[in-house]
Formats: sequence, C-alpha cells, structure tokens
Amino acid sequence: MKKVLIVDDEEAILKMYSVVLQDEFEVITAHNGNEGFETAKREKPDLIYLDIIMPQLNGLDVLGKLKDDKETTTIPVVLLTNLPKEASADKAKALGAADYFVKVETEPSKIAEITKQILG
Amino acid sequence: MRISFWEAATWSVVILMTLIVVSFFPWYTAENLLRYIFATSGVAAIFWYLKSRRLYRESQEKTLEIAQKQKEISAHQKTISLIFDNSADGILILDNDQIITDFSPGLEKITGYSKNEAIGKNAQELLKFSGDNSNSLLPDAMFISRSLHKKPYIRNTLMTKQGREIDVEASYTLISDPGKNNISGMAIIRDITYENELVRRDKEFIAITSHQLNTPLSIIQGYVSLIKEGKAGKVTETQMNYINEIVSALKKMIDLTNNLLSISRIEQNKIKLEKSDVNVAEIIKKIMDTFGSFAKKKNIDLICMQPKKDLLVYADQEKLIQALSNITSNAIKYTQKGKVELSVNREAGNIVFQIKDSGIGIAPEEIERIGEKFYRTQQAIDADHQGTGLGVFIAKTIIEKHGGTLAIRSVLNKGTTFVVSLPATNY
Repeated sequence: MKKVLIVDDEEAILKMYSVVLQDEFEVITAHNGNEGFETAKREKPDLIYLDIIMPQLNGLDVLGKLKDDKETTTIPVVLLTNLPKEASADKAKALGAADYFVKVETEPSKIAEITKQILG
Repeated sequence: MRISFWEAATWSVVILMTLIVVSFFPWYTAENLLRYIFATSGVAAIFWYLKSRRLYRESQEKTLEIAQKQKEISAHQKTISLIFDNSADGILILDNDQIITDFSPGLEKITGYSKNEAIGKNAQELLKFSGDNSNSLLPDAMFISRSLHKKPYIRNTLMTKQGREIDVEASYTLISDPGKNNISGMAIIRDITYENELVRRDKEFIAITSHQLNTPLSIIQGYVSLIKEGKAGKVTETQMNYINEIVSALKKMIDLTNNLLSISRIEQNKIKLEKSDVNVAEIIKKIMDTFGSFAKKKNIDLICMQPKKDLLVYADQEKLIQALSNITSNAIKYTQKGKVELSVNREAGNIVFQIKDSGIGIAPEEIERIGEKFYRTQQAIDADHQGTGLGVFIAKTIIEKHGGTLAIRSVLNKGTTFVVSLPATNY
C-alpha cells in the first residue's frame, strides 16, 4: 500500500482528507512544519500534501528543505492551502511543488482523485 | 486726454455766450468788449465753482471708500492670519531661494521645529523630505514649472526634528508679486501617517479575516461533502434536502470571502494576469453551466447566442470567467421575470461580451456609480438585502487590468445591458 503524508495544523483537515484516502492508501499525518519534515525523512512517503501557514516552519520552507534533501527530493509534494493561488503558487512551483490546490475549492473526493492520478 | 462732461459743458456755454454777445454787440467797441469779458468770465466762474464743489464731494466719497476698503482688507488679513495660526495643517512659505519666510504653528507641531528655528533657514536643509523614485520632493516640487507638473499635490515622507518618519501630503502654489520679480512658494502640509496606518490595517484585516474564514469554511464544506457522499452512512431524502441548504448557504459564504480576498489583492495591487489565447465559446459554456440552474430556479430564461467556435480572446481565463460570472450572477439576481441574454461578437480589434437582462434596471444618475466598491443602488438593496456591492467592482477591475472597458446601458424597471469589451489579441 502506498503511503501518503498529510501535513496540516488543523486536526479536522487531517481527519477529513484521511477519510477519503485510507481505504486505498496508508495515511500518515503531521501537525506542523518541523514534524512534517521529520516524518517525511523517517517514513519516506510516496506523496506529501502540505499546508502553507503552519506553526514552526511554514509549508514553503518545508518544501524547500524536502527538495534540498537527497532522501526526500524525489517525493512529489502537493501544496494544499487556503492561500490563493496568486499569492504563492508561482513560488511553490519554483521550489519544485507538483501541484497547488486551494482547500476551500477542493472537496475531499477531489483529493482522492488527485492522489490516484499521481500514484497510479 | 479725456475731457469730462463738466468741462465740455463749460466750454460749450462759454463759446455759445461769446457767439450770442458777438452777434448782439459788435465786439470791436471797448464797451462791448468789456461786457463780453464780464459775461464770459462770470459764466466760467460759476461753472468752475460748480465743478470744484463736485470734485470736493467726489474726493470725500473716495476717502470714505478707501477707508472702508482698508477696513475690509484688514479684516481679511485677520482671517488669513487666524487660518495661518490655527490650521492643523502646516503652512510653509518660501522665497525663491527656498529660504523659509513663514512657518505656521500647525507646521511646528508636525515637524517639531519652532518658527524661530525655521525662519531664515534653507527649507531643504531643515526639512528632510523623501519619497519613492516616482515622487517629486518638497521643496523643489513647489518651484517646478506648472506645465510640467499637472497636479500640485504630492505625498512625501518627512523626518521630524525628533527623528521620526511621518507621511505627509502637500498641496502647493506659487505666489508672484506683481511688478517685482519675486516669486515665493506656499505649501500646505498635512500629516497623513495615521490615515495611512488605518488604510494599511483595513487591508490587513480583510486579508487575514478572509484567510481565517476560509479555513473553517473548507472544513465545513469538506465534511458536508463526506456526509453527502455517504461516508457517514446512508443519507435519507430529508437529510439530503437539509444538506443541500447548508451547501448553498456555504457557497454564498465562500463567494463572499473570495470576493473579500480579491478586493484585498486588488487594493494591494497584487492582481497578476496569466494571459493566453482563450476560446470564447468555452468561456460562455462555463458561464452557462454555472448559472443554468440558478436561472431555472428563478424561472428566468438564460439564453446565449453561440459565438463562432474559433473566436479567441487574449485574457486570463480564470479571471475573465470571474468577471463575467459576477455580472451574469447580478443579471439573474436582479431579474424577477423574463430573460438574461449572453452574446459575444468581434468588433474591430475587440471581443465584445454583452449581458442583457430584463430586470429592475438602474436609475440614470446611479449608472456612473456602479462599479464603485461596496456601492449598491436602492433598487438593488430593495430587491436583495444580502448583496455586498463588490461583484461589479471586482469585474470592472479585472476588465480594466486587461486593457478593456465596462459600459452599462440601463432603463429603470426595463433592464440593463453590461457591455464588456476586451482587446482580442496581444498586438
């Protein structure tokens, strides 16, 4: 079973996306930027969903660290945030993000579709 | 030289008398000559007396008038000096070498320098104005030729005596002394630090609130969709009806926060367009798909004239759809019966979208205010209390960012047509 890591400081968000993924994927979660980076290094997930505004280390910094690290650089990272695309999508793409979605426009079922598409 | 009426009259009478005397009494006898001299000098004396009396009276009137004028001038001067002394805005007066010749109490308060410290100093040395490169700076700006400088009004930053940076706004004018070569400059300077701070806080508030609102909204929306999909067990028909009510209210809230976010981005000048050649027919189809059910629910015909399949517009697809959606949504919202028609044509180098409704219309005096932020017409408020007055403002901003125009034609109680005109291609 492929492993998906979701990093978000809102427990309700973690639970919500886990519900639609857990049948087909192994879902692991982290509650802030640092924890997210450490979990990614330790667990080597196949896909990471990353929020941007989080305590300790923000999502874009986590993305930068993941892409700089040999062990995690190949893992596709999808930004899942409520910052509008205009605000950070360009920056995220430049840092190597696979995609960028705004939470309020992305229902959980859509996340399930995206995950299937990326992980095949 | 002008001859006054009285002088002309005097000399006419003298000449007339001479003619009379000469015609009755031949002038060459000594006696007649004397008579003639007496008669004419008598008449002349009377007239001169009358004239000087009139002149005396006139000069007295003039003296009174001058005294009155002087009184008025001194009252006027008093008013000016009261304004100068009491205005909260600072008033700065410079001679043409930019030496400070007057410095109002308001300016003392703004800059921290006293009048005594300021008078006689070079303005540039005492008052440190700065600004971004596009701004001209005081005090130089005051003396730049008017023709070059259309608006005698600028914003600068000023370092106070205490070393604090404040934002100032200044309007200024040149004062020329007629007859002399002296030109002095006057600037009225206002401290706008607090106003700027309020504007900044306002923008920040909108940005933070809309982002903070989006987090709980996305959670509500996510869980509602999970329930709807049966992830929490089978949903009965009644439950589904209730859920749909939640979803539709939720959509309104999401639209509102998105509008607020758009506004905050517009105000911070952060709107970026990602333009490409966009198929017009596809845009129209998206709008029809989005609003079909809304129109149906209101029993309004949403009609669209199919555009040519290869019609392209050079635009940011997402934003153009947002602009046209805001207009179409209003058209349906403010139409109680009848239809809303969408059409699009190429006219010269422009792609022209028209959204025509048979709705409540806009009063002629209100048309030009449509598109102001938060502005709503009375008819619109009566028809729907919940609007925000943001939709057209956002649409207009997006259209203008594209180099296009938004025109409105309307007849009250008959309907409105919004005409969106955009450059067709990027050349």
